[in-house]
Amino acid sequence: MDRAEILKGLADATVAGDAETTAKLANEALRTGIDAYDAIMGGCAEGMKVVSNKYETGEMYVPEILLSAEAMYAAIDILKPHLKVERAAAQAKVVIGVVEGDIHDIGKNLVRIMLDASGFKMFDLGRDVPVKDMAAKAATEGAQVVAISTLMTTTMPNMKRVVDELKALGVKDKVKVLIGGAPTSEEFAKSIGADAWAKDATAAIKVAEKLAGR
Amino acid sequence: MSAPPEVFFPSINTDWHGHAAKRFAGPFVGVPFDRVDVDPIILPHAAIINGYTLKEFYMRPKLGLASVCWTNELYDLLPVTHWFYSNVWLRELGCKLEFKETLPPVVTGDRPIKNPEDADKLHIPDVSEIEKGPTFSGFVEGYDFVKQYFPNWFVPIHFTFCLTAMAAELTGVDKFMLWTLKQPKICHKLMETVMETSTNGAIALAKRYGFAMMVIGGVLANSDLLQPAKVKEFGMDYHIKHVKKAFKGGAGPQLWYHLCGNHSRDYMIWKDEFFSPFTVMHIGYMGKESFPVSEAKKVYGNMATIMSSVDTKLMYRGTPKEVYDVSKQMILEGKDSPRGFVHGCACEVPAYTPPGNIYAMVKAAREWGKY
Repeated sequence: MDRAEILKGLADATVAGDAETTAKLANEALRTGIDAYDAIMGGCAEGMKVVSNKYETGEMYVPEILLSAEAMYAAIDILKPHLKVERAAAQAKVVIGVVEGDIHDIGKNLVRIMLDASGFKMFDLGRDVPVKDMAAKAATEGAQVVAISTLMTTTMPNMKRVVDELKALGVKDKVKVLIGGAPTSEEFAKSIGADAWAKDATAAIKVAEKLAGR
Repeated sequence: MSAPPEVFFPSINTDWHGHAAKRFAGPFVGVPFDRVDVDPIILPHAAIINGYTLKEFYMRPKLGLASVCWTNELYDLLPVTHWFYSNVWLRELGCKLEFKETLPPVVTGDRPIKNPEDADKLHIPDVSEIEKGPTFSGFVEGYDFVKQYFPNWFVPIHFTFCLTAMAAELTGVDKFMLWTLKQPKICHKLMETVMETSTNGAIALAKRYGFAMMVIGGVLANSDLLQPAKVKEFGMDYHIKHVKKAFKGGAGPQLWYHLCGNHSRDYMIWKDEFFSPFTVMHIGYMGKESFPVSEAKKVYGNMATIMSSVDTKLMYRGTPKEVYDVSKQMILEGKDSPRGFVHGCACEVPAYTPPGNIYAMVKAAREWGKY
């Protein structure tokens, strides 16, 4: 197989959720000398772009996305150890989590998958993440973006607390805050001093890329 | 009637209650009373505006039920009280529930189903086992209290929640979602288990109280998460079995279907649900927007009482004027629906909603919902 066939194969198998094929093609990419980063970005990430578009148009839903993600990670697990150090260091960092007090993480997980596929280095802190932990992780990792989600109105005020905590740590000017989740809005994001709001996982990619200056 | 000492609210105005009861019955008997009824789906908001907390609402059923009575009189809402939470009956299936300050009870810790083989180990509790379990005792504590102190308010409700979401909680939502494609038989096994358990719960309540209104949700089974065919396969098909079995066991006859979240691509399939003569159909959103009353009326108006859906974001962050204007429009569109109309929110009204926004819904009903 030539380079183009391998990359296309990785993309297609990612869309199809075929982990066996993505793993096989990842090994094939390494064997034929394709740069690991190129295999991820030109293969798997391209496939996840298709998935993202299909989600937006209602051709794919969450189970299909998770299946594609599983296929993507099967390839990434093989390719990641071969990433050149400078490539890895150049990745923009995103700290992501469901805000303190809330445990609904379907949306957060989708965003994490999509951003991972788009080449961001992700630090997923999970759900019900204490405000201080979220801000501290962003500061210690030197993250460009903190992505926070919530499904509950009762926990929306904790998003502002993350913004305030980043200010208290003196890093707010270096870290952009992206929020999302059903009860949030652009207007709410502005009102708490967040830098951006994304209506869904697909929009989150574009917004995060803009925030990270990519 | 004097209020019980542990939940100290003044007694409810019986004249008000009698009037509200006639209004409440209107849609179901086909004779509209004075105006459109309003149901913002009051749950912990009732505790909070009376000085209690969200956590206390869920941990203290008597407080929860009494605060809803008092709050409904305060706002001029429904003459029935209710207290329920999602994830019902899951403790009986091996899940742990945690009561938090910010959320209704949530499942925490290890899930009983870690791999597909575990599904065979699940035990479906029968009615007598349900009666001895923690979920039933919570409902009995609350409902017996209402029967004693607020008998006119008493409607035993079996909150089925969303069978799909409950099945997913047994193993974790992401895993369940993935299994709908990779292990569909296991997902059906989990669905069958929660459906049978929940049915036994409804029957146990009906056995104790003579009947049990059923509130059934389509929460995880929605258009943001599952394709319509899967919503049917892992949602509605189990609703139908659940309702028919529960009815045979004495539950019903009232049914309230609450399709939570976005149902833009699947709302038509729910026409195949089981409808009793006392059914309310309530659909939250069409995409990001409130589900249009005109569409609900067109599709479900001849099958059920329809309920409108003021966006909960507007309730929480909007102004009374905005809520009033939206309410006016919805009421004018829905008030003549053939089997009646209730003005409501897209989901439970957010706990910290400004009271003025709820009053705005009622004011609109008083001014534009007259019969």
